[in-house]
Amino acid sequence: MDSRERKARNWFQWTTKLLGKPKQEIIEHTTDLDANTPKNYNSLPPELVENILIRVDEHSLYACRLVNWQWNSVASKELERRNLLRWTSWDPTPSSYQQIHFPLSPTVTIIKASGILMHSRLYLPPVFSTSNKFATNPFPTNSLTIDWSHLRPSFSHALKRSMRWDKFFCQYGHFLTQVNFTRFKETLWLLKQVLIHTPNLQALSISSFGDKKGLTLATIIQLRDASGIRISPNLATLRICEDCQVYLADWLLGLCAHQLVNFFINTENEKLFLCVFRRKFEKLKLLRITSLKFSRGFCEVWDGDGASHPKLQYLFIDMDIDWYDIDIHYNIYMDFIGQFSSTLVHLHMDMAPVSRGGFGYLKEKGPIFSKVRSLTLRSGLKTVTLEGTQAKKDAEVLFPNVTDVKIFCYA
Amino acid sequence: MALVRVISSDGAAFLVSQRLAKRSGKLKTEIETFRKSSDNSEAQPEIRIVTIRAEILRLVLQWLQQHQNDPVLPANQNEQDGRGDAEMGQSQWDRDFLAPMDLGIVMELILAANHLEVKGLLDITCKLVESKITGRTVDEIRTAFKLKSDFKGNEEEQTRLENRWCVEN
Repeated sequence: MDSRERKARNWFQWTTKLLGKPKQEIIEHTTDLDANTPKNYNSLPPELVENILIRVDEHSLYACRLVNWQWNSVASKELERRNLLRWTSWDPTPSSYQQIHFPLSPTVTIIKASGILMHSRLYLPPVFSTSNKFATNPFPTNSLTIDWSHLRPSFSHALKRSMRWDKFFCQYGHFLTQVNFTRFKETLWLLKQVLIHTPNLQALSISSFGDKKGLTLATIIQLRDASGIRISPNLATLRICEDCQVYLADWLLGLCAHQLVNFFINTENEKLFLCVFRRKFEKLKLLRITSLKFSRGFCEVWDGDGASHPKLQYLFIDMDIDWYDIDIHYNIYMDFIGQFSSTLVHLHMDMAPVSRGGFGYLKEKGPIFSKVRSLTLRSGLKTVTLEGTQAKKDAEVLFPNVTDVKIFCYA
Repeated sequence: MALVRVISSDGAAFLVSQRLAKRSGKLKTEIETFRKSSDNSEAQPEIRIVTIRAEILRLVLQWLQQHQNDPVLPANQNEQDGRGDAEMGQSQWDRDFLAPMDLGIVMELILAANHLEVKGLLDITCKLVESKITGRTVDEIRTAFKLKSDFKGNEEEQTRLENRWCVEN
């Protein structure tokens, strides 16, 4: 009895055991186990090859890359994934000298620029490598931060020329949920590329964005073309810092203001602020304003229309006042806060206008912050207290339901 | 005992209990679809699997029979690194079950387990194939898996150059 016969007999016995009596009706089939065995295993779909190769150790994976085209793709992808798992965060600037000589991934492209400074070398994913047939996620944290202030001007210029950002975002944008640009003197065109190619973007932070040329005719034409682009429906957090070009911010807010939940704005530029706040923020819950000057000019332009933030619950406001006519500016500041009285739950504001009788001014104006539960006051002095002052009495009227009052000292 | 008739690509019919069949994701779906579309609730479902031949189907059913009392593994278990936990608890029975098979049968079993959504079997078979890759040279892998190089131009040479840093050490 040869082995095949033995196997066939075993199966029959097994089926009999399983069903009590032989119920299987074999209509027509061969009993030869090996007769129809495929001649090669190219027929395995890539996901099954992947299922096998994820178990293989790293050294053997390098051998698998040489087997054939399909195995090469799958093994390369798996190697890249393992290499990237070791990265805790992705930053184009290497943190130690060691990394320069021992790159974590052999396929990572090193862009060399002139100069010996450590910051003059970047580690970037193999974006331009033609052998990269599968786009794998080069960002283990799904967050990309490019801080141009760390780079020397000559180098950043060289990098901009060598790096095709549009191609980069086109290929890898869908992995990103967060993008931060710091001091990125780039154009509207780039920002447009970023927004178009990041369908899963949730948070965007830009600071000092915009080229030096400002609003040229070319930019105006671009703005007109870019007014109706589709952006990520999940983009809910936006941070605009420092010197962002007004036209850029306006264009950006025009695209996403209606879906923002968190909005951070840090600017001294009244023009920027006013242009931004023309928009309707239907879903906005958290607003953080820092460094804004509440000057007379601001008062003249601001019409105090609070209806454009119907859901605002958390307001963090850190003022930068104009010391000329200080009381007037404090009142403008209080007026600004007063317009959100119907919806606010948490309020974080400066102490200075309060100690100057700001609450009294607001009480006379009429709004009651009936929903406010927690109130935080920022003070430059350690010893400030509300106990026994007129401000406390006014606060009790203005915030009848507040349960938590903190005085936060930054001195 | 409610039965279901499972028919292989080459026409062999297997009568198995529905409880056993439902341990395969694919068969479970098919049985439920049959129940919904059939007026007679007593009718015996008949499922035709056009991609799996009788011998392989029998092996899958045999494995299911042996493991019918194991907890069902969710399909996406350990998705992070793609490994199932089944291989951790590979029993002596599994080892004896897989031992006489040659690589061709194992590969067919992988395809079948994938098609029928039997995660436990997929894990142990993939693990077996992995053991045939680890530690082998490229030529040995090609011979074992009956694969041929289909690189174009200097792609293979390029890959060898990229591998050099780890192979030469």
